[in-house]
Amino acid sequence: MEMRLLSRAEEIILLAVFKLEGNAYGVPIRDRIHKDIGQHWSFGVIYKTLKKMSAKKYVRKIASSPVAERGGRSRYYYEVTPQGISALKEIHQVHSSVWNKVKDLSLEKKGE
Amino acid sequence: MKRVEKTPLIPYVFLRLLLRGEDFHEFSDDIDEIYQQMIDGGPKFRAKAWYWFRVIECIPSLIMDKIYWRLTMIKNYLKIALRNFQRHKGYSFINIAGFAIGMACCLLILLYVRHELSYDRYHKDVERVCRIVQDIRTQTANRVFAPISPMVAPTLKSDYPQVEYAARVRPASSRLVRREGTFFYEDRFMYADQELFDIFTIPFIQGNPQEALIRPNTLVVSQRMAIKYFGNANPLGNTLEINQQEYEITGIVKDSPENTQLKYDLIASLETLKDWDEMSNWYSTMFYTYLKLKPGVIVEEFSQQVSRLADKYVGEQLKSWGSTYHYFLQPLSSIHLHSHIRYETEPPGNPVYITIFSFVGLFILIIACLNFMNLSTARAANRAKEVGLRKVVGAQKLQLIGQFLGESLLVAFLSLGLAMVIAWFAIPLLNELTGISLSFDVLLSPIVLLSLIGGAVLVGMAAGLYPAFVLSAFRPAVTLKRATSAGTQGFALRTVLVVVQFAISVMLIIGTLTMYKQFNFMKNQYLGFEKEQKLILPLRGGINIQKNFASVKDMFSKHSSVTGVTVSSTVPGRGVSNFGVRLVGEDDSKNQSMFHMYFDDDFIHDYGIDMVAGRAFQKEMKTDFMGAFLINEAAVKAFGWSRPEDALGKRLLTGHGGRTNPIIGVTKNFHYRGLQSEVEPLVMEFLPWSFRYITLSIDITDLNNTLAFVGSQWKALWPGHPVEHFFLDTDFDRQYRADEQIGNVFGIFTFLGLFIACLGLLGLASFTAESRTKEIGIRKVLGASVGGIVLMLSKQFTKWILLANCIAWPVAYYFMDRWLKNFAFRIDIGIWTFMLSGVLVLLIALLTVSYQSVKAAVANPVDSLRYE
Repeated sequence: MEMRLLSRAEEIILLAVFKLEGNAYGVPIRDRIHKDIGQHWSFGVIYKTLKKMSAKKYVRKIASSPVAERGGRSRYYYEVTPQGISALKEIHQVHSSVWNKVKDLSLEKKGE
Repeated sequence: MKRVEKTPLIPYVFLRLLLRGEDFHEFSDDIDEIYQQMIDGGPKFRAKAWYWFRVIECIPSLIMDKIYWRLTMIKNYLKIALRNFQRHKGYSFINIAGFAIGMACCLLILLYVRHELSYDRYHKDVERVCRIVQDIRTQTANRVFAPISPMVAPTLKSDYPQVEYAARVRPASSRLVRREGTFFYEDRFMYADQELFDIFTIPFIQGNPQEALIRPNTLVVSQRMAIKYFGNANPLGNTLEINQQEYEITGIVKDSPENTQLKYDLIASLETLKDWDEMSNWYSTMFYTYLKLKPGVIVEEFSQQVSRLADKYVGEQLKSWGSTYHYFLQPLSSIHLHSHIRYETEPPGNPVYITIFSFVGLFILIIACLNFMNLSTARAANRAKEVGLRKVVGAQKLQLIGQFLGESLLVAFLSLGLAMVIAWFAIPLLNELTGISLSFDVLLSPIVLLSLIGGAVLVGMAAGLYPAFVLSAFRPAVTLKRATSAGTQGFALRTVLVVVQFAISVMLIIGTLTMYKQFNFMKNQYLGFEKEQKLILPLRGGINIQKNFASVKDMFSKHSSVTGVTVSSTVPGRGVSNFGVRLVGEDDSKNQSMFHMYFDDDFIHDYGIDMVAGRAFQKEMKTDFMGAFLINEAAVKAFGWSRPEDALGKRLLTGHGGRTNPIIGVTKNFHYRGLQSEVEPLVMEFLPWSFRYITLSIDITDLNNTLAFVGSQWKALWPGHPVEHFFLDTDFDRQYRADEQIGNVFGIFTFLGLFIACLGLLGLASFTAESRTKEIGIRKVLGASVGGIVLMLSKQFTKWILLANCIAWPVAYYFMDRWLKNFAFRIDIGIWTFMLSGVLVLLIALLTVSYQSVKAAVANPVDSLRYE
């Protein structure tokens, strides 16, 4: 069965989680996205997307041991699953084949 | 680490409301983490603003998120619900069909009630429109007339500034309308003042509503008539001939709605009648008079003011006669249901029937709802496992209640859809049966549609609430272990529901049977005259036989099948007129109002009316012709004579022109009106100018031949007038038609109510049988017979039905006793009606459950013991 492609938000968040390598919880994920694309995303969008991706099994949610700063509650870390990896691979492939043979887009625009 | 700074309260509460448990902490802790950092590194207000902003920017996506997951759950609920429908097709059918039929009944009743209540409410400024009527008081009698003198409208307009418009209307039935080759009798013809169009809302399609009826001999026609007589041609400016009089068409109006007391097809200008003597007669009662008051005039007060408006003009004269005229106003919209005075424009509606039907509709809906509750809770056993599992994986009670409520709402909506379809098919049938014209389109207007959907939600909630609570209250540990036991909870309540349903059914059946018995009784009661084999030819459209009635009678008696011909002013069942009557020599304060009938010398004989004293009119006695009276026994009593013989030879003074003649005979009472009323005093005369009907006593064995003969004789006598005839018995019974139609409708709803109750019983019986499968198996192994088991299963239901009867009988007795009081001649409510209804319901119920009981009883114990 054909997998449904990742949405842009899913792709960005999934990559952020991937790049954070084990330190992926809310605050760093948001920072990472800011660094990657220069925008501050709301936590709402981030969590909404993470929740959907958990249901699709692209990410896994792991509770840490209790954290003192959080009043003894767990922090929840996210980890990309193998399914998530293959979804990323697929979107990457789609990107490259879609962008293939597109030459200097910006120059052409300016030439007008 | 201790929290350095508290987070702002309001956004925190927002989050708390939007998120739950783990999600909430994960979310708020993340924001909090940055917030604390910002507090440490900068001004507090900036951190606070930042916190606020973070939370607010999240709200849209959080809400979207909630909806997304909700939808996922709803998808799941829907899937489960549909699977359940499929798996238990029988139950689902009973549920939806029962509900749908119940709702369809309600829809139809709603339409009927709405039709009755909407009478004449559609007119513009209807709260200012009223009819003025007249109470004529003499020393002995007190009669309220709807039609009044034509002088009242102009007087009101000149003497009372409160009146904005006043219009007189004189309906005249059965006009012969002719244009070129086509001619028909039209019944909805009336003369009216121009101002009628300012009072009633009658939309014009063509012509000028300001001056359509100003000139004499002008005519406004309905669209229907325009098409009937002119086809595609433009009628405006053309003429129509009505009763040998040419009218110019000055306007075309929309067809008359059904919910008005003045149903019109042809409206001629009242100016046409301006030379008629009656137009200046204060004592005439021929014109319905409608008023539109100026804004701000209070109807009740004004009604008081106009009470004696005639005194100024004819007070002296009235006083000398010992009578007074009292006028009063009736708001237009209340007339149809609440005015029951003499000569209404059409038979009034009956508010009692509205109440009865509203109750019947409500009953049926309640039965359907009870059924639904009953079946849903009974089925609980099947759903118990599902509930248990849902609870184990984290479903909350509220969620489950939501799920089951949603399911009943789904059923309610499916049923509503089905109910609309049923109503669509049923409305034409119902119209035929009741003679009312209900229209389906009303149901499609946005307001009605919205309220129907609202109603469906309400009904769905009402029916689903109890099952939802029962189902959601199951404890998972118990239900997962033992699946079926849960269904027996609430058994007492279910019993009550079944008993109530059947009690209602029994009541409805008793009602229907009593009604049918009463109608049958009225039809078969001997009326004091022969009503069979009488062919009646009404003389309409200006035919006059005052001079030649004898030769007309001869024309029709020239056939072997015709055994008698008689002519009369009316025939039993058709209207009778009344006049003041007194003995010659007494003063006019002794006037009594009595009905009058005029007929020839063959009438008494042909109709088989018995004489108790004196003799009937005789051909040989020349003085009988316009010179003698017959009266009936009731009149003898009214005059205070003890024996009929005492009446003979007494002279009476009566009628227009005050004829004084002796009484020559007394007839036995015969029912010249329907059996709703007592036989009232009647005076009979041999008076040819009012003959309007020919009665042929015929032998119906060769009916076609006879009718052909009648047709050819008619054509020879009155070419250009279409021949019409009817049979006296069917025509007479038409008086009961309104009541009988109501009876029919009542019968149908009774049947449906019973049907729905049976559906419920069937469901419950199968459930009971199912839940006792094991018990039945064991009983059979131990040697119980099939018959014994069927009996055991039926016994319980029998008890319920008997109980239902005990409740239903007194209630039904009370209501039917009250209904029968409407009729002067009525049946006794026999115990047999009750017995029959009870036994009928019992049989139907047993038949319903027997299928399930027998199935359970003959089942192989091997299978039933393995069950579960």
